[in-house]
Amino acid sequence: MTGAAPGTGSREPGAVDTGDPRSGPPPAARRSPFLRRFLVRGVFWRQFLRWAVLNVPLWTEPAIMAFWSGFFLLWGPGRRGVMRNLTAIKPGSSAIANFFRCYRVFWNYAWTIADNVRFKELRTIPDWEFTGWEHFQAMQSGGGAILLTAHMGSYDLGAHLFSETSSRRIVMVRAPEIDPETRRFEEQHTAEGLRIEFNTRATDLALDLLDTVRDGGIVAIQGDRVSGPIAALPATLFGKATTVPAGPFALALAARVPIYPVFVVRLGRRRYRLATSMPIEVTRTRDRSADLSRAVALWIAELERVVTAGWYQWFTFEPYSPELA
Amino acid sequence: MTLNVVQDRPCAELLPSRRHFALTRLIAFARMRLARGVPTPSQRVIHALDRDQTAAEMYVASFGFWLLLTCYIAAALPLHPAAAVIAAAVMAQFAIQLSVVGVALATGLVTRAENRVKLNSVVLMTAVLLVSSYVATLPGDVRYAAWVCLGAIAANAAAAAILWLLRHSVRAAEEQCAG
Repeated sequence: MTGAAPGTGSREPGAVDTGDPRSGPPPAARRSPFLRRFLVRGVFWRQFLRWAVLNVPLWTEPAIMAFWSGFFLLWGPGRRGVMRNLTAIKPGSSAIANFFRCYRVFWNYAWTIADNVRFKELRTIPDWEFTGWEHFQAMQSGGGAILLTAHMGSYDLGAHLFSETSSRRIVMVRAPEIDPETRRFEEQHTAEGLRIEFNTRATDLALDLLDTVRDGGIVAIQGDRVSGPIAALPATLFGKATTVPAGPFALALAARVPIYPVFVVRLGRRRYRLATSMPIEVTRTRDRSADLSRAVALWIAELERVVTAGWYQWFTFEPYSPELA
Repeated sequence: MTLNVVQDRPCAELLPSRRHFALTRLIAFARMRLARGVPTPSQRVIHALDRDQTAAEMYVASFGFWLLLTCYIAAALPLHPAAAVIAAAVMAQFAIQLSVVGVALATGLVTRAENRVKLNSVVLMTAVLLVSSYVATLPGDVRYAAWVCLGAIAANAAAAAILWLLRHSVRAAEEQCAG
């Protein structure tokens, strides 16, 4: 569920530091390891989902999903996070309407993570539609590129599809799981053919990624949320101040490669759309800060367009802006 | 790794092999035969060839299972019919979770295979068949729900027999589409 861009080792001009050294370990980390596994990001739920994928008869699956989507509405912080984000995405919306919208977000999330696990365990893939095919092809046939995506649909499945259908090397960057047991579980159950890097070793990773794109590879990063103490750039999303990871924009600037906004949108049961937008070229001038700001503004415009249409599958469970907290 | 997919063939939407139940496979085959001309793809598409790929039949089967359990539980509750239906609708959801977990744990004692989706599906469907056979003999309106369930299972069995007779035509039609 977590995911973000890599830190770049050095602070970008105009970047803000999201790490707060005063905050100390999160409350979840202070619990005993046994209890921690049952928290919403704990390993128990990952194991349970895997067990369900390997055991639940498929003709009972919709009823199972309906139940568990309702069950996870009990997760107060997640529910409130989604509902607060919805107040910004849908100005003037009522709390009761957003509660039911929140159920729809959880419903889509349940299907999405189940599809992802089913692919990893059983190699079952969904149906795919492609929009912006010409941009997708350009990304595959050109030199190095950055694939910038959001926490929408199944971004993992999208990356796996790309790695299966393309001869290009793809490196997926994401934030590590908060819970160490969950992190170990996810690392053990990673699908073959896809390299996943965690943004914990910022300087080394930034150099690795620079090498990857300069060698013609593709780096896939989620650019809608900042997780952990990484460099970030200020932005305004749906009229609220927020930050986006600085990494992909700095990388594009350094390697002189385009950024392709790619969204994996869930259309229905086992049906997804891979939507590729026009590339964002990060032009280099004397004003580095302005260069990055221009690229961020283009990305935010694209993100707003896609999230407005697909709010029910924007899996951001924390308020994306301090104004919404 | 080989993925079982077809690319840019809209006719693949109707492939019987993308359906789980024999009845829906037969309907899909009939629709394939009745479809006129070869549709041209309006955009790039990839269709997965998997028998559990079609959403409609899964939603219908799942909703039907929940509805059936609601009827059975409501008939057993000593409440006013309206209250019994409301309570049963909620209890049926829990009953589905319990039945699925119960079947999975039971089959876990029999086999050590990790992927038991197919086995659990057969066991659960057999349990539904047995319970419905019993309920169908009871007095009261609940037996009609059981009859509908048994009727659907019988229709599916008949469709399976017809599909077996048509197996060469079905395979030819699938190959023509999937290439």
